[in-house]
Amino acid sequence: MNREQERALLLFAVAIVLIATPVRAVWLQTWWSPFAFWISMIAVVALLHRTDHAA
Amino acid sequence: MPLNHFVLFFLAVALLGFYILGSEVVERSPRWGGLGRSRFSYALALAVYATTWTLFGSVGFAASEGYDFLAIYFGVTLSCIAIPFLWAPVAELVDRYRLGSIADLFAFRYQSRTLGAAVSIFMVAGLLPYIALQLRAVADGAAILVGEEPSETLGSVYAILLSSFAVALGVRYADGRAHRPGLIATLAFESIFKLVALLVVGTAVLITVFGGIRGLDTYLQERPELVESMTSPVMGDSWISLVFVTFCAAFLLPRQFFVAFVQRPGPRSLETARWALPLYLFAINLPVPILYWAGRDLAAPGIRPDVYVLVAVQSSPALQTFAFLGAVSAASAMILVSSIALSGMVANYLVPRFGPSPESLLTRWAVFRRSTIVGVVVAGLLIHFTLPRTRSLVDLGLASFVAVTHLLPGLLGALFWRRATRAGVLAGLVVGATSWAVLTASPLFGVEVDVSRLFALFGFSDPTARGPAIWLSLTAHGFVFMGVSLLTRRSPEERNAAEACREPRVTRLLQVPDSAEALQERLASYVGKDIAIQEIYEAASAAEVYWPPRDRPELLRLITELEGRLSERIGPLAARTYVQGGRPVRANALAERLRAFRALDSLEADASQQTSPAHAARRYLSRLMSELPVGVCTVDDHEDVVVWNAQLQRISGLNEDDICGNPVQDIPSPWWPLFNELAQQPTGSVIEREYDKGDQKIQLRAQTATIPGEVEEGRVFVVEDITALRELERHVAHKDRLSSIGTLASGVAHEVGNPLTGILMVAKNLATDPGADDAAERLGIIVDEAQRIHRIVQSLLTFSRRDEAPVELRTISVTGVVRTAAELAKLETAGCKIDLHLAVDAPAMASPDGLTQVLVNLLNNARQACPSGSTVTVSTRVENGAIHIDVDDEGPGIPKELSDRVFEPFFTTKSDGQGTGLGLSVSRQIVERFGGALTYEPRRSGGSRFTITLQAHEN
Repeated sequence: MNREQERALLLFAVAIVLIATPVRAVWLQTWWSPFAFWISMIAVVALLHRTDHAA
Repeated sequence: MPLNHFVLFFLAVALLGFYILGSEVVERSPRWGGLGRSRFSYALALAVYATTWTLFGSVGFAASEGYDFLAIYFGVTLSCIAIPFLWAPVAELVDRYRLGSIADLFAFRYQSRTLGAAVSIFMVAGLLPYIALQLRAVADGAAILVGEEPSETLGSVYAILLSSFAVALGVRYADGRAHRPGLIATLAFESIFKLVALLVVGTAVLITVFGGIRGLDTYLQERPELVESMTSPVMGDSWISLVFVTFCAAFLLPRQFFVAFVQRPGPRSLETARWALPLYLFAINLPVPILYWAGRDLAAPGIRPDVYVLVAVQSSPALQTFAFLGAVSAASAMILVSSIALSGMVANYLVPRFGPSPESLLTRWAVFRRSTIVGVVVAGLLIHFTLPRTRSLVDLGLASFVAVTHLLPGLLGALFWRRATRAGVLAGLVVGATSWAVLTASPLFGVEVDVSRLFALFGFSDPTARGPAIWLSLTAHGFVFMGVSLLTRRSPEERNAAEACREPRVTRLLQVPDSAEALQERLASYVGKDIAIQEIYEAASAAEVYWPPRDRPELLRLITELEGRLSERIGPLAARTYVQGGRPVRANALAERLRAFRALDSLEADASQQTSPAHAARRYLSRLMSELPVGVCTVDDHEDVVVWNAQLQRISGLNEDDICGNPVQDIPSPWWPLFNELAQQPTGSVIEREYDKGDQKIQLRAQTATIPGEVEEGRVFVVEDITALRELERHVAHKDRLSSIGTLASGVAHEVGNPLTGILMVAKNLATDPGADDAAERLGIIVDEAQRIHRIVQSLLTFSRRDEAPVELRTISVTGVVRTAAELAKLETAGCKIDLHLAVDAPAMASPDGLTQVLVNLLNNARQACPSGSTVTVSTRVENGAIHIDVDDEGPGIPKELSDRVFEPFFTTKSDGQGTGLGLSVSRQIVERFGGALTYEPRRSGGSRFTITLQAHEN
């Protein structure tokens, strides 16, 4: 497993916790917060992608 | 004002016609071709995931289950995060082995056409409701726009339009070639169109209905129950099930698999899709809650929320038409790609079951695939007409999504679990498909099965919830898959395919024809000479290889290209059969890997490149293995040979390249019985064998041990040439016997001297009185005494004979041998008495000469240790099926601290000049060569006991 895969796996685990456990109540406060959470997650993925390939 | 039927239909036809035209331009024009090869186009094409379900169904879903509709896209986002460790290995396999569908992947990994057929049938059955969903959504949308009730006639018109589009464009791209820029560009444009349509409609609603973002905020603040009804379902049980199902669907739905892996334009495309696809889905879902809230207020009673998108902009026919065309666009793309993907499965795995010849399959594959596309679309139409109208778009879509989750166990097995077997996958799939049909699909057709008791058994209280059906069926599938896999064995083909799936970077796993002529002949035997020549010619052109290939690398390149080209059209199994003649692929991945490392090492050494410590250590170990003076063979946990070192090559005369990668059973005679027997033995077992090598005989000693490890468990066999050692042992044994004879010399003189004296005296008497009456009696005495001397001399000769031949075990009488040895030992006059207690006369397996030597040694030792006048006792007994000969003396015994060393060579407790220290060592070797044992134990009453244990002879 290379570095990119390790980081992806870590992010995946974090995302699972945020999406599929009761923690999801945190991003369910307002009508727009699910979208804010979603776009944040996409931004993190894009950032990771950028740093993976910058390295 | 309702729209006109004809205008709508004309616009839909124009849109689809534009797609066909655009795809043709991209396909033919070098200038526009780049559009279809762009990573962004690819990411947009993956958005074929968003169908009419997204455009219409999501609003309906939001109406009934709030933000649970986002689970359909959060699952995809999770799946995209997993791209580096889940999608990427699949993409690499698909690329390397030119697989065209998920059925190809299963068939390749598990080497089973039956499994390919099972996956194909399941996917066709699972996807038809989804295709029907698209047709229904478009037909219902058209009915709303023209102000009519949805009707079968209207539905049929649009269904036929979309089906015609799918067939028209599908047959264009169902030619088995991957990376079609025209198709990718069309899908990308279609994705942009539906995204823009929904964003425009959503923005228009936001402004016109709510007065902008602030207005929406105020609207929701006044109605907090609306926000609550949207967010609260997310904390329910369905959320996790939906996320999981869509996580799988994102890359396992046939159309997703086809675009993501088969049509992938380049290795970096997936990296872009990792964030671009979730971003697209985020954007297309932004308007959904807005459209729901607007539609909720504007819709007349009885209007289904599925069409709120059209209701929300009912004041603007232009926007309504735009939204409708967005749905037409999404539906047409979905049907197009699904039918192409399914046609590949059906043509490769179901059509051959109806009997077309291999030649026909290869030459008429395009006809088969195009006919299949038509068949799939028509079947979707039939389902569309059959399904009850009461079912929502979500129900229809989820049924298909749940079906594809049952591909996940088999796929994970293919990627990460070598032990997975085709029987396991097939059994799991049967269980999964059955449970899907009963729990998920049958309610769509109005057939309700009461499973509340079953659900209650597992603690699920709500039988209508989505979760129980999904988790129970998947759990049952998983258990059956793993259980059957663990209970069944993989065929050699499966084992190699499993290795190929795990280590595609190193091994190609081809057992290739030896020459270009052999390749042509093999292919011709399946598809005829003309087609074989044509296929090879085209493959050679694509691989830039001149015919005939100049060397092996060129031949390999040609074969790889040829197999890949065939695989794209007729599937990987048929392609491999045609190119490799259907023989099991035997090359072992670990052996291939080691070869690859060695080749790499030699390259590095040649290039004098700097190497890492890991490389240096690897080279050191590689050389160590190669130069070891003992033969080393290792086998993996499938009993395939991995290592066959240089010394073993010298001993056996068998080349490493001919042995490595093959099963132990394939090692040529006379060697395989040795390794086969070793493979069955526990760690530490030793086997000795003699082999003819040219005009000489060699003796080998082989040992085995288990290689521990988490991944590559196996066995190691160490083979040692002990011919010289055995010769030395024989020499030492002979010296020992001569030494014993020296010890016996005085006794011999006495034993021979007594009868000789008698003979001399009787002979003298006869000489002086030849006519005596008792002359005959005296002559008899002479003969008896002479025979006694003869026996003694014969015994000595036998005892002192050099044992040139290897030990030959035969059935002997233990009592007879003990008596002979005792007679010899008695020749020594000094010392003590020998008592024999031979209660048992069981036959044993041994060499009489060797056993006699051992007993004489033991008796001599005993007599030397005993005080004069004491007794040495030899007794026999049978215990546990073995024969034991005990030699007991009444001497002082061996000090406890020295008792462990008595069998060491040159160890002696005797004074200098009294013994060599070899007697007991040689004796133990002799007994062990019989398969027996020689042990020592002190006697309780004092003195020593040596016990010879021999195998009893079995009748």
